[in-house]
Amino acid sequence: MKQSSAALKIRENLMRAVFFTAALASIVAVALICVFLFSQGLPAIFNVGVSEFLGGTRWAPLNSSDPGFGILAFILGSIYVTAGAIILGVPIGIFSALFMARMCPKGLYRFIKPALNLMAGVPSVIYGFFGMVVIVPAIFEAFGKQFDMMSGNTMLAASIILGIMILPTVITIAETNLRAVPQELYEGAVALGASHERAVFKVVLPSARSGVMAAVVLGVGRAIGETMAVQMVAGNQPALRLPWEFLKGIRTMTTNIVIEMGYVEYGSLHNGALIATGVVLFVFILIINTLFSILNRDKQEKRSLLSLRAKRGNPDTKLTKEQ
Amino acid sequence: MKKLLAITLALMLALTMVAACDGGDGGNATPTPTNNPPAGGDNNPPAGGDNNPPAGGDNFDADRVIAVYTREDGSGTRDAFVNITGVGDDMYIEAVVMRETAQILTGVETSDYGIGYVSVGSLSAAVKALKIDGVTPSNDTIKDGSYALQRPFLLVVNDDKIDDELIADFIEFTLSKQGQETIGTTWTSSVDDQKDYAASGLTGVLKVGGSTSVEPFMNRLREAYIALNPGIEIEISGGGSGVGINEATEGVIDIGMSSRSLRDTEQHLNSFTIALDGVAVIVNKANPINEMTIEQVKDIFTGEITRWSGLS
Amino acid sequence: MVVKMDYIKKQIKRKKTSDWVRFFAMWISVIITVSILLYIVGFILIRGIPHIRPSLFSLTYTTQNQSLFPALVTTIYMVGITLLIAVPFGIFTAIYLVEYASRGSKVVKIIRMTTETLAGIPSIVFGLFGYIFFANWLGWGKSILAGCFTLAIMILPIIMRTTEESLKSIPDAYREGSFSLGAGRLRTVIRVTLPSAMPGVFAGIILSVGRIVGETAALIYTIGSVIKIPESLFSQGRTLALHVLQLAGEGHHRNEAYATAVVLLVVVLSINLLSSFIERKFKNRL
Repeated sequence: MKQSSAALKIRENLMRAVFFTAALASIVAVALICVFLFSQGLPAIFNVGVSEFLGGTRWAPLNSSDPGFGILAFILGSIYVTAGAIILGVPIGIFSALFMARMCPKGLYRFIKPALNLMAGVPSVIYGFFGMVVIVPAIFEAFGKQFDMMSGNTMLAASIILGIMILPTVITIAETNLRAVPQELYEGAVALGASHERAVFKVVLPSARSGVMAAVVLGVGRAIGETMAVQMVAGNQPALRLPWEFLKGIRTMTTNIVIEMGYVEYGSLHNGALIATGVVLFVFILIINTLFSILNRDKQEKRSLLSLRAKRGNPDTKLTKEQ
Repeated sequence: MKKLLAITLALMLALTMVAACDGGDGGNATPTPTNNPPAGGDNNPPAGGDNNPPAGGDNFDADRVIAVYTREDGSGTRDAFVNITGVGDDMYIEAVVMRETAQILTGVETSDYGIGYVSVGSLSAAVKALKIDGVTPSNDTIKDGSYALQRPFLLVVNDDKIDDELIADFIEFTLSKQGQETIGTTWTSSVDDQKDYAASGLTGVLKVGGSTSVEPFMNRLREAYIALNPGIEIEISGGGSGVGINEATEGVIDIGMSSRSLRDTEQHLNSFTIALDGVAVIVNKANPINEMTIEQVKDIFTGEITRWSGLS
Repeated sequence: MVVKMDYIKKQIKRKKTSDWVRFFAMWISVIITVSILLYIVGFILIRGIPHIRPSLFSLTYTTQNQSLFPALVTTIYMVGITLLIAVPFGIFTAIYLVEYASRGSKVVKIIRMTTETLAGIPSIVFGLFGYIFFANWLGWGKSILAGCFTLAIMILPIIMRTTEESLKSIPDAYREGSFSLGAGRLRTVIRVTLPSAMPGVFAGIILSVGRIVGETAALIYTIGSVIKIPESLFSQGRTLALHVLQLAGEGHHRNEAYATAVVLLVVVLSINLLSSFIERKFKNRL
């Protein structure tokens, strides 16, 4: 089976080009998305005026005499609902991750881990459905009379459902990172007299800090971007809310897009405004991810530098808790 | 010892949670309505006597806040409703926005203090339709115009498709005797001069989409039409009147369904009135009220009146 | 023995309240998490299983019988076509990044950045893009094709990342052995590296399938809402997840909604089990 080396070379280079072109696909995709979203969204933002769009509190796109395109209510909506999800979901998530990494009996673990995977795979429709028929009526039953509520379709319902939805993400990633903490750190703490719990909370957890933060950031990303489940339970009123009004209904950026997108005329300002909402969402996520990777990168560099020096036996380097 | 304690505590917690959730669920179980497809034939809702002042029924507490349900902005039903009642652009900002006819029904069904509006043809037996200004929504009152809350069902076709054979044939069928027959008692026929329709034997696929209020009617039309012309398929999608009009304009679908008349900006579409429908104002069956004036409806939906006791 | 008892007693005595607090915090959190999961799954199963009947699997959907079969078929089509589009791109990209590209090249950095970005975009933004670009600009209308391409972009990062991880985990010794036997890079990749990395690749594919099956926001304006077995790539369709969404909103078909949700859950569960099975095989191999 002889092949001339020329033919071989051609084939090699050809395939290399093929692989390279395929690799460009992701760049093309992101570029396309940016181009289309920004080209339709930005003109709309400028048309309305940046401060009016981002800071305006009135959303009334179909009002023929005095249309309003302010999405502040929705930006705040997304923020509130996500904040609520974090408050409800992250502590439970982190504590659960700690449990699974450091306290879990083997048998229980083999049961819980696949259960978490299943939870991660449950489609958002089902969470929304559950929220609609269980959580919303429950909230109304509990608070309806006292607080003069119309229905259980509230910020609280959305935060609860989102908190539940981010649990698997936060737990699995945090757990992986907690497990990755070198056993020596834990044993060192115990040898110094710390109890089991103390060692876990005061040594292992801080040491995995960046990994746990990563888990939380991923959870936040999921919460901000969730659409259908939120739409089914949040009430969707285009009203501006204050943070303590969590027993009132609300509309987020994502639900605004999904509710109105179907019937906007292509090319109209309304259409542009919705796409612009998508742009704002996009930018939000970009900012969160960038901030996080910047913070992480610094930590990584510091850590690898320190460990490098330690390895070289540099007496100035102290093995601190940060490692 | 430690482990035993932990496990007992855990079990107790789990049990209390299950118990609490079950209890709440049992008492508040979502009423599983009958499995019938939207019957909506009940054009004679349980009409009460005169306007009963909210007498706080059995459990009905008239001081409770009115739970207002409304459709999304692109809905033809909403459009017709706000125009005729005079609500216009001032829809109560606290009104819960639902994306489809069926969700409004569910909302009012499960909320004792709820109020909403749906197509008369989509009414279910699980809610109560109010008399408006003394008039009960029915085929007769819609036909003669005495029930003011009404709107036409339209099929809209873009200019560039109006000459299409298949589309023209289907529209002919819809306006024919056979087509209008499918209305039954659910909606109201508006076509006075109904011709006979002969099967055309055409083949092809029609894409129809739009109003969720017109959709049940379209489903019936489709079944009857295909029975006569088996070579044709009709794909029906929803989305609301706004979606239907929009997509017909863009060519995404062939025929759009709308439950409101066309606006000035939409006059480029050809429209065909295929039926008349009323918009019923619905309340929960536990609600002692049986009728309202248009003025009261407007006040509730603009947020002027926020409690049931506020109705004079 | 005596020593042990003393030691244990000392341990428990040493436990301060703060320790007990932490102890219970962890246990309670886990119990809450597991209970919630059990409750949700149990809830759907209890409400749905009684309503599963064979007629739900009949070929067509009529207003009398809300069959979920067309949705099931549509979902299968969607999975197949989307994978067909995304997997080659994902694998080739990973191959390029791991096997061909030089370290620290600019292109590699950019590709990594764009992939990370893609991975973080919310599904509704994909849906928006899909509607504007595939359905409108390219003129495909609301169709299976538009939906598949939208989903393909969504899962591209997943496939890429898992394949890359998988390829990276193959020891260089494999490659070097192949080279020393005279094989070129291409042949090495195709005959040696990639096959060894297959389990990891499959794991990624299955993860994506799970994502595809559960997706609604990205599809709601790209795939349409017609409920029948799609005839062509340009037909509209409705996946299982979308079907549950539709039925859930309709008060009259609650029972069917629950039943369809059960089927959806079963599909997702099977996909998960398959994935962990393959993962285990992967670990054993190495």
